[in-house]
Amino acid sequence: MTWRDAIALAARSVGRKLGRAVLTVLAVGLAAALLSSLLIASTAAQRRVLDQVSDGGPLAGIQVAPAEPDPGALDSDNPPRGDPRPIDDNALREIAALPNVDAVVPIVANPAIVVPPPDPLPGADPRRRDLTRAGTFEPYFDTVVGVDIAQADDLPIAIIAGRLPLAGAPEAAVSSGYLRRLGIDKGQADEVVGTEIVVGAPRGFVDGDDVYVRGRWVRLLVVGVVAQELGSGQVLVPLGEAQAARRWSTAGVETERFDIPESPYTGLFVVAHGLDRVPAVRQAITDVGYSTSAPETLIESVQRYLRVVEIVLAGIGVIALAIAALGITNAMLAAVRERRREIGVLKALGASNRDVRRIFLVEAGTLGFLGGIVGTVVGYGAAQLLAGVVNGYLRSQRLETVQLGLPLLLVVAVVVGSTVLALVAGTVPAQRAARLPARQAMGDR
Amino acid sequence: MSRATLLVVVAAFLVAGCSSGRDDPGPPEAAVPDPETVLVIGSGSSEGSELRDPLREAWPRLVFAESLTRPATLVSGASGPATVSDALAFQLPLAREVEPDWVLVMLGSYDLNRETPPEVFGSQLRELLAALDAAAGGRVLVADLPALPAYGDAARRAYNDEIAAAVSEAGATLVSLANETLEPVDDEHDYQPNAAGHRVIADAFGAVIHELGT
Repeated sequence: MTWRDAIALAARSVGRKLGRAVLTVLAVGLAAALLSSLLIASTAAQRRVLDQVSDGGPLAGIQVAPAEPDPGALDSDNPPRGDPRPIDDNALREIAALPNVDAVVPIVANPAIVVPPPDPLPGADPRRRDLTRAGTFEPYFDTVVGVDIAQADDLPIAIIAGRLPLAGAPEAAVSSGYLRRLGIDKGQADEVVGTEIVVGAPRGFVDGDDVYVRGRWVRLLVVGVVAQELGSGQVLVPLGEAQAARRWSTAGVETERFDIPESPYTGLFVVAHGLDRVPAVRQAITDVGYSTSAPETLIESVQRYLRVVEIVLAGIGVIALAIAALGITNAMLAAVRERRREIGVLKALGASNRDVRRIFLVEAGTLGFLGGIVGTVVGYGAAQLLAGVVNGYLRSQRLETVQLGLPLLLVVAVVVGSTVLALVAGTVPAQRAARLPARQAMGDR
Repeated sequence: MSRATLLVVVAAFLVAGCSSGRDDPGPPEAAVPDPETVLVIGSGSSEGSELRDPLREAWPRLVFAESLTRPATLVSGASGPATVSDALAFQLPLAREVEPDWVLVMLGSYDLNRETPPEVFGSQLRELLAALDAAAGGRVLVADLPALPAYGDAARRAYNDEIAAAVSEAGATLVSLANETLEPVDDEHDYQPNAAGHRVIADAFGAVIHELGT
């Protein structure tokens, strides 16, 4: 007997008792749905929690400060810094060339005077305005932060409205702190997108005996709002703009009115090749001579707790699948009892024990496979439904929503797992059918 | 469609549907024209230091916001009671540094205040404009003096004659305010125009910039 014959016989048998087959598939499907929805929800929750811990950036992110490391403080996530040490292009290249470093994102910050749009935006809270004597929003001292926009995906930046500025464009993104300054809630972040700000880099100069300040001013279109504060600044610009501002400011004389960082790069954000490589990369950067910080210990602790939750949820799903497997065993045993004569005929016609076992295993496997597919689809739908409820709550609290993914690995695991479980559940009935002597099977009518 | 093809298509859809969307390409590089740089040479009255909202109401700010398209950079050398002589010493180096596309000059009120003889003022202004022409390479726009109560009419006319002559010799462009009468910001600072006066000055510069083309 060929595989094709076995499949045809199994399919005919399923078709004869369609109601029982559908119920069995549904039982497996519901169990698989429970397992897959729990795992999808748990994966999404895990991603959300880790995003929160890592500020939306890569988990293996390391911040490098323009300072020497403080000896003896290497094991903590955020150790105290040593003496100042500028980060220049040579240091950047040296760190980028270290083993297990995937990316190095330079960051440049410069003091700035920010002139927001003069008039309050429609959604602004009137109680939270700093106004000039002319009734317009007060310009204020701040810091502009410049990053290489092409590497923005490697940074802990989450966009809550609009987009990031384009490299080389006269554009900026602002932080939620800027929204607060303008009296605007996060939920109305769209209001500031499309407005224009004027940003001035200050420079001290001497005129007679006094030191004055003059500015280099640029007009920037606000194209987005990011959730995080940008260090001490509220304005994110392309790296080139921040470097031009810094060149302007450092060409002047020192003044107490603002502080120009001595280091060409205010910091680096280094992405290691995996969380497990973070300690080695931090040590290597320390050996180069710079202080680092990374939430690696915190992330590892959170991951351990989340893994426990994942195991518990998966366990609940597996128990449900095991119960469904018992249902398959029961259905298959019933099928064997009902088809004794058919088994006898097959054996009388020359079918071996192996052929009979194969027919019943194919039947059990088919039920498990179909149940796995139904379960994955239903599970994803159930997880989406759950996410809709959760996101509704998160939105009402003005928090970031969760995004559900359907990992290919999960789909394969649930479908293959259901099939294998069904095969195991069908082994005993298939074995019983295979061992049934032909004469006994025929004579039991 | 064969079964194998169907299988491949279904598998492709499955894989595409399962991607999490984390591989979005980053934002593209913008195709942006070179920024226009504007340098302002002037005194504190150009900074509008006594205005209620100088960073928005002073005429250089209005020109920057309204008469230039993004991307644009404004550098203002204007400060304090600057005379032409002060501008030569402290503001001219900025022209060499920033290589502006536009140089907007408005000087004379504090020379007038210090009663610098018109011919001395004119001579220094010629020196400044020649140096700006050599250093900046961009268009140089020079405003003459509008009427303010603090300016004596005769002295103002003499200064404006010198300004017109210097502008003509240097091949710069005159922004004529001679026929405008402005109000001072307050009695204490009668050499500085009020916000409406800054608007008049900005409109005059804007009209010339528009005429010459940005």
